[in-house]
Amino acid sequence: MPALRFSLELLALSVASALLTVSLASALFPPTEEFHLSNPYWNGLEEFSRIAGAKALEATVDGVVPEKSVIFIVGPSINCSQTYVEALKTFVLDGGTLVLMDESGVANVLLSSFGLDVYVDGHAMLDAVFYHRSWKMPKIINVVNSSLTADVEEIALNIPSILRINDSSVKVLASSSSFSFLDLNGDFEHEDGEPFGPFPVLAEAAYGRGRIIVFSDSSLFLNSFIGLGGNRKLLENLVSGKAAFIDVSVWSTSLPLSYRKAVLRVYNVFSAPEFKSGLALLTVTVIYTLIYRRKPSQGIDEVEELLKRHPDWDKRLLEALREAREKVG
Amino acid sequence: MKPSAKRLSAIIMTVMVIVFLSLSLLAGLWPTMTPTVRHVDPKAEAEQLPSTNFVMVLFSGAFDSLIGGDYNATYEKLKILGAAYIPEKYKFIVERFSRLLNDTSKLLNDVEDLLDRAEALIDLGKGENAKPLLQEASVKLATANITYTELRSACEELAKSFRLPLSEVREKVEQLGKVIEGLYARLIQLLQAIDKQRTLEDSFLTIEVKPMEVWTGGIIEVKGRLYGANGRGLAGRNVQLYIDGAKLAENVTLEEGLFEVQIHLPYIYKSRVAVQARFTPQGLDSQTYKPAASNIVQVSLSYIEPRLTVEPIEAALPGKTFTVKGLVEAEEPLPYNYVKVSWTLHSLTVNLQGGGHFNVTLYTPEDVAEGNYPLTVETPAWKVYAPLRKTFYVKVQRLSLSVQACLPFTVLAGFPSTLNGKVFYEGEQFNVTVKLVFIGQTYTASSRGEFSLNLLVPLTVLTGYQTYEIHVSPSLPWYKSVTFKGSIFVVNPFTVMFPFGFVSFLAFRFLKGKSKLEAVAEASGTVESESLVSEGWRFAPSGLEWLVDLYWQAVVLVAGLTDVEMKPSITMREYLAAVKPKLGDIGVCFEVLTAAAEKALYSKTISAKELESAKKEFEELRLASVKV
Repeated sequence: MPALRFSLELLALSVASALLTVSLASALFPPTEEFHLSNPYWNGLEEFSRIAGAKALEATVDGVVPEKSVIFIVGPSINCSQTYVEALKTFVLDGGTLVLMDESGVANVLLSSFGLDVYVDGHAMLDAVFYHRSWKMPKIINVVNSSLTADVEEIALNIPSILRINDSSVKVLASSSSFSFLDLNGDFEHEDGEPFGPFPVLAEAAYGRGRIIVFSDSSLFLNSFIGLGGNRKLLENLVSGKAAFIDVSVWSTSLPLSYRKAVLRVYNVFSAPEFKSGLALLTVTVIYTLIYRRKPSQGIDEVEELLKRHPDWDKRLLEALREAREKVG
Repeated sequence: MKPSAKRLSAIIMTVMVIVFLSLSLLAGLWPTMTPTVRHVDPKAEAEQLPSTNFVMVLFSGAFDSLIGGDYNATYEKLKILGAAYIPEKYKFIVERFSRLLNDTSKLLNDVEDLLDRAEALIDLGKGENAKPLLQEASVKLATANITYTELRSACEELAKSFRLPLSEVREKVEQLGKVIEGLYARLIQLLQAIDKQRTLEDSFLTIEVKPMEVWTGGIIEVKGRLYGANGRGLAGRNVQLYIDGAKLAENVTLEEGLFEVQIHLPYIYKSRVAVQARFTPQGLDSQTYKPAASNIVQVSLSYIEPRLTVEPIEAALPGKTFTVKGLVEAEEPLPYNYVKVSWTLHSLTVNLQGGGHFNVTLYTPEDVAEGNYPLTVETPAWKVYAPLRKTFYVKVQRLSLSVQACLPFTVLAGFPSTLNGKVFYEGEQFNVTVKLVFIGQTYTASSRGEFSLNLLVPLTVLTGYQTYEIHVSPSLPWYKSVTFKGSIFVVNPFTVMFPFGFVSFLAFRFLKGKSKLEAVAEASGTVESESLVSEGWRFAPSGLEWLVDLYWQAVVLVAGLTDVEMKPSITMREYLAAVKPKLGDIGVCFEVLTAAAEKALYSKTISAKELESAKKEFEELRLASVKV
C-alpha cells in the first residue's frame, strides 16, 4: 500500500465530509435539550408545542398582539434584560397573559419587576401521599374553581417548589396537600423541622388589562408530564384560542444546539424559492451540458445537422474532420 | 489491488476517522452542555410507598367519620384516600378496603334513616306501620355486619401492606363494631316500644277547621276532641297543632277532651295547607295511652298573584344602556310602588309609575362577553299579595365592523409598501387601532375610519409567501374586534437576482458556444475563422489574429493526424519537434505555419509573402488531413 502523503485536497475533503456529516446529524437527530420545542423525549416540549401551537420568541414581543396572546416563560436559567422586562410589562398592561413557570427562583427578579410580592421559594416541595410514582412528583388535588382550572381536578408536578405570596391581590388557584412538605436539606425525605403544607403552587394576578400566572414548577408541560392529571386541560385553558409563544432566550444554550440552529438557518435560507428554483435550473443546465458534450446526439447525424445549418459547407471535409476529432479525442 | 484503489480506500478510511471523531466530539459535548434542571423522568423513577404515618391519618379519618355517624364525610375521606398514590400491587387491597368501608357506611346510613322514620311513626302511635321499616333495617344491619366481618380482614391486609400500626387499626375496627352493636340495640328498643304500645290503650284525635277557605295570613279556628278507646274524653292533655308539618300552636284539652284554638296563619302563598293535631302522651299517660294524630284537614288559601309583562328587549350592547319597560298589575290596586330589577350582578329598586308601569335604564358593562344574560324582575311579598319573580334572557352582542383592506399582492423586500384600509359601521366614525403583524413586526395605526400602514420588509427576508394578521380593535366597547389572516408574496430582488443571474450566465454561455465539429469545420476554412478563440489571439498584433487562429486550427488537424496532443506546457517549437517526424512530407507545412505564427506573436513584423505562404501551407495541411 502506498504511503498516504499529506495532501491539502485530502484534508479539505475530510473536513468537508466531517462538517457535512455533523451538520446532517445535528439537523436530523432530534435535540435532547431540556424544554426544547422539538425535543420528543421525556424532557422536551414537543407535545406542548403541538397542543398550544407555540412559537418561539427570543427576548422580544415584536409581532405579538397582547390581548390575543399568551407568553410562556418556562424554567428560566438566564435573567431577562431590563429592556425585555419593560417590553413584557407593556405586553401584560395591554392585555396579554404572561405565564411564569419556575421552581428555582430565577423568575423572582421578573416577578419583583412587576411589583408583585410573590416569589418562588426555591426549595423542593414533596408529597408523601398524593403523588405520581415518587414523592418528587406531587399530585395537586386542591384546585380552586376558576376559568383557568375549569375541568382540572389534578395537577401533576415534578420536583416543584412553592410560592410565597404576601400580596392580597394575588389569587391562589392551586395548593398542595396537607401531607406535602418543604425539603429544606434536599434529601427527598421528611425531617423534623421541615414544614408541612398546604402550599400554594399556582397563582394568578391581574396586571393592567392583562394577567400574570405563576407556577412554582416548570415541568408541568414536559412530554412526560403533560398527559398526567389535568395538565393537558390546564394548558388548553391557559391558551384558550389565543396565540401561544414561548420565550427560548431564557435558557442557556449548548454548543450543539447553537450549531443545530446555524445549520437549520442555512437550510432555511437554501429552502427559499429563489435558491430552490435556481438550484434546479443549475442542475438542469449542468446535466444538459454534460449530456450534450459527452454524448453527441445518437441517431442524428452530426454532419447532416451541420449541413442543414451551413448548406455551403463540404460534406466530405466535415466527415474527415469528425474522424480527425475522434482520433484526437 | 491497484495502487489507485489502495489510495482511494486510504482516503475513505481517513475521512471516516475524521467524521467519527467529529461525531464523538459532538456526542461528548451534548450532555455536558445541558443545563441542570430539577426534573426527573417519571418512567425512570423508582416506585415509592406513601408515608405510613400519613396513610394512617387518612385511614383513621375515614373510620372516625363513620364511627361518628357522619356518612358523607366518610365518603369524602375515602375519595381523598383514593387520590393517594397506591402502587399497582397494592391497588386491589386498597380498593377492597375502600369498597367495604363505603358499603358499610351506606348500609349504616340506611339503617339509621329507617330507624328514625320508624321512631317517628311509633311516636305517633303507629307502631304497626313502623314494623316493615324495622324489618328492612334489621336486614340491612345484618348485611352491614357481614360486610364489617370482611372489612376486618381487609383492614388487616391493608395494615400489613402499608406497615400501619396493627393495634391502632384493630382499635378503629373495634369501634366500628360497637357502632353496629349500638344500632342493633336501638332496633331492639324500637321493636320493644311497638310491643309495649300493643298493651297501651288507643287514643284518638279529631279536628274540624273553620273556615275551609281563608286569605293567606288570616285566622282559622280549629276545634277538636281527644278521647280514649271507650270514647271518654281525655281532659287536661296537651295537643299540638301543625300546619304543613310545622308546629304553630298548642292547646290543653278541656272537659270531654275538647279543645278550640285560633291560629294566625303565616303568609303562605300556596293554594292549600294541611292542618293536623297530634297528641304525645307525657308522664303517666305514656304508660297508659298510645300517641295519636288527628285527621288531616286541607284548608284552601287565597292570595293575590300580580302579573308582570315586559316589553321585548332588543340585544344589549356592552358599554351602552338599554331601557326596560314593563307593567305590574293585579286584581286589586298594588300596595307597593316598586320592583327590584337585577342585571349583570347589579340590582336596583325601580319605582312604579301610575298603573304599575315601570321604566328602567340599565347599563351593560364594557367588558362583558357576548351571550345571553338573565334580567330578573321581582315584586315583593306584601301580605296577601304573593311575590313574583320573572327572569328574561337578554342577548348581549357587539356590532360587527366592516373592514376593507387593500393589501398589495406582492411586496418587494427592501422597498416600502403601503397598506390602506377603511373601518366603518353604517356610516359611523370612531377611533380604531389597527395592528398588522407581518414578518415578526407589528405595525400599528390609530385612526378614525381610514387607516394607512407603511410596510418595510427587511432585505433579510427571502422570497416566498409570508402570513399576516390584521387586528382591528375599536375604542368603543360595543363594536367587535376583527381579526383576519392571509398571506402576501414577498419578492426579495437581491436574492432572486443572484441565482437566476448565475444560471442565466451559464445558460447564455452554453447557448452561445458551438460544437467542436462546427469549430473545427470553421477552422478548416469552410467558414470565416472568427469563432475559434485561442489564448494567443489576444497577444497577436491587430490584423494578424487570423494567422494565430489558423495556427491553432492546424494544431487540431496535426493532433488528429499524429495523436500527439498540444499541451499548455509545451511551446510551439516543442510541439513542432514532437509532431514533425510523424507528419512526414507535410511536416514542412506545419513548420512554415509555426514559424509564421511565432513571428505574428513575438516579432510582430511579418512579410506579406510569409503570410501568403502560411495560408498556402495550411491549405495543404488541411487537404492532407482530409486524405488521411
